[in-house]
Amino acid sequence: MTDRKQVLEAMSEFFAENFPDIPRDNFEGMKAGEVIQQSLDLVEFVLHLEERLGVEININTLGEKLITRTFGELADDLVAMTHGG
Amino acid sequence: MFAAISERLEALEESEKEKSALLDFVRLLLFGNRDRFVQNQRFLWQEKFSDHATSFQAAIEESASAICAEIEATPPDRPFDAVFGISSEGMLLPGIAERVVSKLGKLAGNRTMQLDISSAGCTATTRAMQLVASSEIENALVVAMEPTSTMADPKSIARSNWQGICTFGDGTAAAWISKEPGYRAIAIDRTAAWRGEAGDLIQWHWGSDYYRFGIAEPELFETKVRHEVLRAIAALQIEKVPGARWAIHPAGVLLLVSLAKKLGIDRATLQPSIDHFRSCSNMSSVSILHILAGLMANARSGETIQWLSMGAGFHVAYASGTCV
Repeated sequence: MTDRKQVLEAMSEFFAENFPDIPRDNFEGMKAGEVIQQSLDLVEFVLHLEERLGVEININTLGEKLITRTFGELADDLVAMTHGG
Repeated sequence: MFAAISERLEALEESEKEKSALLDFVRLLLFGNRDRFVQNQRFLWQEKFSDHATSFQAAIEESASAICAEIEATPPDRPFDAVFGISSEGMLLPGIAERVVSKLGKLAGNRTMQLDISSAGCTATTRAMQLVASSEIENALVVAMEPTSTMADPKSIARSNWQGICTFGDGTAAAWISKEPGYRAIAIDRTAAWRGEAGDLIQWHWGSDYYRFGIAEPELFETKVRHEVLRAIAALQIEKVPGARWAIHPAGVLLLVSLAKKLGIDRATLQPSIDHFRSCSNMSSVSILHILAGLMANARSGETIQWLSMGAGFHVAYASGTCV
């Protein structure tokens, strides 16, 4: 079972590796759409989460939440998704 | 594109909540820097059947003239035995092959076979190559024209409609397939095609005026496409050829990247397909020919080129060849 802390750690890890200059002191309140500018990076972000969390993420289910929700909210959505919510 | 769609959605007689949600969806679909070519600049304001049909005919005429001018600049040394016209967006009589043959003059004779292939989706050109490669035809021209914008239904708020509008671009391309080797040609070594079970995954829906892009289960679309293509790759036994160049139909960035991982293709090898998607978006059956043309221009003799298309059916078509 995936928990919120795991999801946030996996997200933070991606940004530490790929966007090291982005301050992460308020990580949960930030949105992917504010940090990522290219669709390729957004896809890499999703694939990184799939790999780290061992789940398949359906982009169509997440939809626009991927860029309009904060990482904290997105973590809640992903936990709900992996729990069948 | 986002500004144009935003302006169009604003004009719809829908609730502000609905329009705002749709705009967020469009924002996700257009995320990042991506361009496209559109043959009808007013495509977001097509109102009735005749707008779509007129736009389709004009785009086909424009595409046929452009392709024929390219062919006449470097003509084959004898007339084509066969001309295949491909498009999945509209219907015309005379058809695409007939229009191309008319413009080719002496490059096509009275005995040139003419045939249009429609409703075949993004894999149509690769499957047409498979058809020609497995036949006795010695000198064929396969011409694909996909004015996808002619199907945009700006009055429908169906998400699959807007997914199509944001995914596709317009374009045309042709492949000359001959039994004789040519300069910078690919000698086709293998062709293969696979048909999956998700036959209703990609559909043409229609409203009161015209056809529009449709998806059977929008929320499961990406997942189902990925599963189908991965099944096809296993079934087709696509081998990893060290150093091979690759062209993959740019259905979307997620699919490109996940397929590349599955096939063991590194980022540099995948880049031509990504670059095509960024500059032209998904031009349906036309895209793979543009990516191949770019690869052929840079490849050295003896190099292997592999290509893979996927689309409505659900079909996956594969081919590989060696640069002459």
